Amino acid sequence: MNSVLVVEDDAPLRRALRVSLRARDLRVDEADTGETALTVLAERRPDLVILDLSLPGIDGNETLRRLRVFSDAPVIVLTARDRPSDKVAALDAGADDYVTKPFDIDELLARVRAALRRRPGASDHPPVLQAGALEVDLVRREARLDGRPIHLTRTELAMLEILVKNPGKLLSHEHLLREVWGPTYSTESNYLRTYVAQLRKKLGDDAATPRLILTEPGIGYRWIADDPAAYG
Amino acid sequence: MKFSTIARYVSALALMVAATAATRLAGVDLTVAAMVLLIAVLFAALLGPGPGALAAIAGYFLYDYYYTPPVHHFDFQHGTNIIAGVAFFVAAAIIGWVVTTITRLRARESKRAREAQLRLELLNRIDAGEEPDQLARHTALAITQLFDVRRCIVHLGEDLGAAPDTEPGPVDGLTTFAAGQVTVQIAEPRERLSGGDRELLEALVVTLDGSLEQARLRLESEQATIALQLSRSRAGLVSAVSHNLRTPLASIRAAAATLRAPDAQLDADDRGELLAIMADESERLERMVIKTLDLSRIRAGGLELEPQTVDVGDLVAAAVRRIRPLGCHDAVHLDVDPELEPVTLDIALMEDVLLNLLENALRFSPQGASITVDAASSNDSFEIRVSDEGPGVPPDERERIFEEFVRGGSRSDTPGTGLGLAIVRAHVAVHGGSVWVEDAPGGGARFVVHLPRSDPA
Repeated sequence: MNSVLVVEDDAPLRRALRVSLRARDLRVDEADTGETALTVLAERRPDLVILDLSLPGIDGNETLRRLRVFSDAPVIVLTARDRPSDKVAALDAGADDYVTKPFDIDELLARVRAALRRRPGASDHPPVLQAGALEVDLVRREARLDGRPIHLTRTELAMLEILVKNPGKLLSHEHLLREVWGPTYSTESNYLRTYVAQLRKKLGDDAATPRLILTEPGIGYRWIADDPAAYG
Repeated sequence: MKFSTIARYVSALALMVAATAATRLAGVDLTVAAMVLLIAVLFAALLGPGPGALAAIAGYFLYDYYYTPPVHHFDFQHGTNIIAGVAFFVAAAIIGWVVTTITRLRARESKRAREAQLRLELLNRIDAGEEPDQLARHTALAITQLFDVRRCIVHLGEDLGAAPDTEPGPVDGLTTFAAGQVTVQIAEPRERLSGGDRELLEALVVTLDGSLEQARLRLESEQATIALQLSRSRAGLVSAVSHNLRTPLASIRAAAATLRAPDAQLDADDRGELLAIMADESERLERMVIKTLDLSRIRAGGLELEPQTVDVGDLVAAAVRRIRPLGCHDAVHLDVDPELEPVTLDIALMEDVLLNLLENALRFSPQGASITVDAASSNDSFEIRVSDEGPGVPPDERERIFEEFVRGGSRSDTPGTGLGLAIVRAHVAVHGGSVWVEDAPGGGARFVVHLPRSDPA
């Protein structure tokens, strides 16, 4: 049974989450402050953390930073803050995903499942990843659509590989730029827009009704081939 | 001619006579006498150019009469005598010129100093926000004194001040100094203004205009700052409201979705808990909405007081009855002196104040603890105090907790709205009173509402 740590200072929401997560066969630990969360995390080693950003005492982002020192459990951030900059800050502090209050519980559960699937050690990547008619061959470093190789530039291929290796995970602009172009390009998000547009075209995906690459405006991109419905 | 002027001429003459008499008595020769008389002329010149000249003439005659041969005769032809006379005149002229210059410079400096002082005073008045018509009047008065003018009219923009206070007579023939929004018109004194005075007046007008402009800009920037703060505080309220409504909404949505989900394995207890969450959180949302509306109504100034006279005990009891639905009615311990004079206030608002304070106290009270409400009164004010046995409020949070959506570290299962104390403060402020929190005698927090006694309306 997977275990989840819920860090939320609002008691009713904590209780609602506890019942809702248990009903899906997840073990639930709870904490109402960042300090308690760090203690529980160290003792119980949960598989995933759901973390409210506005906590009394040390806030969510600070909790996240301290937690990342000793734990690589996936963290889904709960936030009532609307601004992309807040979400980017949380992702940069080490969050894997975020959900905005008031959230849809099914959406949250889909994110939880996705995060649990890709958590470290859950599985090594198979040499060939499949998403419908698309195959990404990590060994031969090529992509095939309906069995026919697609011509991709090296940058496009690098980006595609990062995306498919992190199914469902929200990858921030900065993260993608750093991984594909190197640290000096971490603010050039125009590059990203151009390359993602080309990649979508070659993969037959569409920005308006995405099945493969989802844009989170102002924040980053997400590979949704496994479960497009969960991110509608 | 003024008396002091006559006295100076007489003194000059007396000085010369005395000097001559002294030389005669001492029996000195004519060289020494010339020096003594020359020195006397120098002293006389200190009295002014006129007395100096008189002394020189007197010295010339006295010297000629008593010392140049033929003695006791006036003999204007004698060479020695002519040299002595010229020396007397030159000495008197030099000293006279020096003295006049010094006197004139000193007068100008003193006028400059007075003008600088006036300028400073005007600046202070502008800074203090003095009304322009007052300022104009004061300036006009000061100018008449400083420059010895008979009449002065000062225009500051639209406003006008005149000195001395006369009917606004014809302004033809007045000399005008103007800069920007400042115009000064003066009736020149009989001896027309000197060039230095003119410069001083022009400088004064320019300074006055500059200072007024600065004051206007400062006022504008202050108003802009206030407007900005107000809009920030409104934006803050909007963002805090949306932020704070989301959490109970999230709980309700999560509970409802789980109840409906086909894949959720729920037992009867789980269902009961989810339903309870939905009910409680809907109520909390409702309270938040109502309180937010209250607060924005107070902010908008749309709140009219309806003062009525009431006994403090009745007021407190009514508020206690209203928290009965929230539970723990038994925990409230009333300690209101029945001898207290009745008070006049808006009953509905003050009940709200007490209700919010009681709710707050309940939220922070441990199980089975009691809450004490007591009241005290003096001639011109009275206080209602709500004390709990909770953890108290740390000194550095005592001001902050009255702000919107700032909640203390409540661990209760029924979180507050974060609005109660903001409403308390706003309602009390409408009554002209104040509210604060301090340590209760037995630990815990004591909220004190301090209100002025107003006459029954």
